[in-house]
Amino acid sequence: MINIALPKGRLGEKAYKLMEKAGFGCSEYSESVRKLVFRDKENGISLFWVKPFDVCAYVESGVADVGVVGKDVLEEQSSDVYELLDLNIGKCAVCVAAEKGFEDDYSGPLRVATKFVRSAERYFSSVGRETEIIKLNGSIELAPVLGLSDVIFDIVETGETLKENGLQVIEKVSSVSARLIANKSSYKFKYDELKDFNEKLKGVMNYD
Amino acid sequence: MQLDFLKKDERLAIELKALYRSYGFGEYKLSGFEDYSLYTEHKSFLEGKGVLSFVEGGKLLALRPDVTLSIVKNVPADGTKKLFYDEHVYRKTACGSFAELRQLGVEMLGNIDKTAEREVVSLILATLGKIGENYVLDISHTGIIVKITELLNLTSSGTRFVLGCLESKSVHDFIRFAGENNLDERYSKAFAALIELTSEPTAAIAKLREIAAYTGINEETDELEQYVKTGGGRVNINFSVFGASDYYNGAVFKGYVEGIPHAVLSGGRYDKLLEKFGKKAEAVGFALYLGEISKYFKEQTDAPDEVIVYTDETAERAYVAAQKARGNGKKVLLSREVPRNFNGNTVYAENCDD
Repeated sequence: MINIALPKGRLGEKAYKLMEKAGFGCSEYSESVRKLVFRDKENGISLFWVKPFDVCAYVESGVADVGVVGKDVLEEQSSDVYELLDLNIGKCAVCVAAEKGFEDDYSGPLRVATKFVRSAERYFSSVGRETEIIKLNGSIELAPVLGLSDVIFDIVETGETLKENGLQVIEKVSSVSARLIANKSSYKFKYDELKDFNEKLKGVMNYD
Repeated sequence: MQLDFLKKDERLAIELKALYRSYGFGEYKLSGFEDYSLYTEHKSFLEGKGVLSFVEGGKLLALRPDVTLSIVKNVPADGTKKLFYDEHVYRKTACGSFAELRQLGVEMLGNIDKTAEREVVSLILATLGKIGENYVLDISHTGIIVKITELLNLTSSGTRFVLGCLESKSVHDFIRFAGENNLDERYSKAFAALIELTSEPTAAIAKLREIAAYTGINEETDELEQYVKTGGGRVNINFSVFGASDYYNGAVFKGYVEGIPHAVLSGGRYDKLLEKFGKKAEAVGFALYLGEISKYFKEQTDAPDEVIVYTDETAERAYVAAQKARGNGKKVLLSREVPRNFNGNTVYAENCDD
């Protein structure tokens, strides 16, 4: 039995469709049901739907053998897991964005609003910019608009939300996509099952 | 003494100490605290474990986050020393707070020949075997990783990035990076092969031999092959295991036991650490994170088999009955009341025999 942690939301749905295509569908699963755990004995899988930021915790602790998580979250949490596959879905970019017309005058620490605190610290330290990081849990785009921060450090998919809030990207930091991660111990003791899962997913992936 | 009443981690510690003594290793006891400067000078050896410090009599002292550094600092470099230890270390946990953790380990310092290395691997495997039936030892070689990484001719941030790919087996990110940075195709393929190396050791050695033809890793591959032979099917080659290359020089180990989601022990060949202390000697060792794995031992319980409940009037009768039951191999608690959530046998002393 492979225990799989999927992130609730669009990314998880896309990952599940990929799994289904690879022959790892879950007969019990239905999008309309509010249940969070589903099992399919025949396919040998157990699915957990968890918050995107919690996927790494489930996998690292071995509760889930594998999980699907965005590279942004993976980088932020520096979890001790294997990263087996770039699933090529959920593509976006980690960017620094600010209100149109903003120019950093370097007169003091740059106020950065983000939910990716460690990644933001790492990035700004790599470019030698002193910062004051403001940890937010959502609606990051609001922070510069309301004067809470100078810039935001966040993921940008289409740029529509930024545009609607009068913001623009001033620096693209890295590309992001969903990754298949595995618990290091599970990968040793369930090697054949996880290898098969990995290979079959690879076989149905879209490489464009 | 009823050894059956020991919890698994307590029993394990006793059995492991007996095992290490059976190989002629002597126990090394560390005393007091350590100078904080020891850890600032060897920060990368600690791999972010964090150090708890305090000032005593004007001196900055620390609670040990690691035992190996103290042993290397204190043990004289004359002759070969075979030691084991059972100590507590103080480290940062994943959530950032410090924890006190029990750690057992083995260190061999002096002349480390093939036989010594063989003994260390058999001690590691015997240690893992006492924790669980199904276990595996992952081995890699610092020399191979350093040589192939150097051939890629990277900046320090590039080196950090590709080593991150190796550690997480993220071959897709490495291939992307190699393409974006126009890395040498042949050496990139060699590095990608390290990431993707099969866990089957014979095939892994064959692949390393192929790579050795143009990367000069023959000697290191011979060493790995030797470890695989000693392991009798329990040793895998896995290059996602490595330690700081300014301290480790040869084989690096990580041990896993089924049912425990992370490595239970780690270690390696660390001659370079001794060099940093000005000691001309070789060293190899490993540490078992007993404090971190004991929570996975499910059968651990302090609950008695039986509770004898007594009053002032029945105390003598209860005492005699409890002693008798203990003599018959039972865990017996004498109490004035039935403990909350107790599911075992409850005996009221007035019902006990005179």
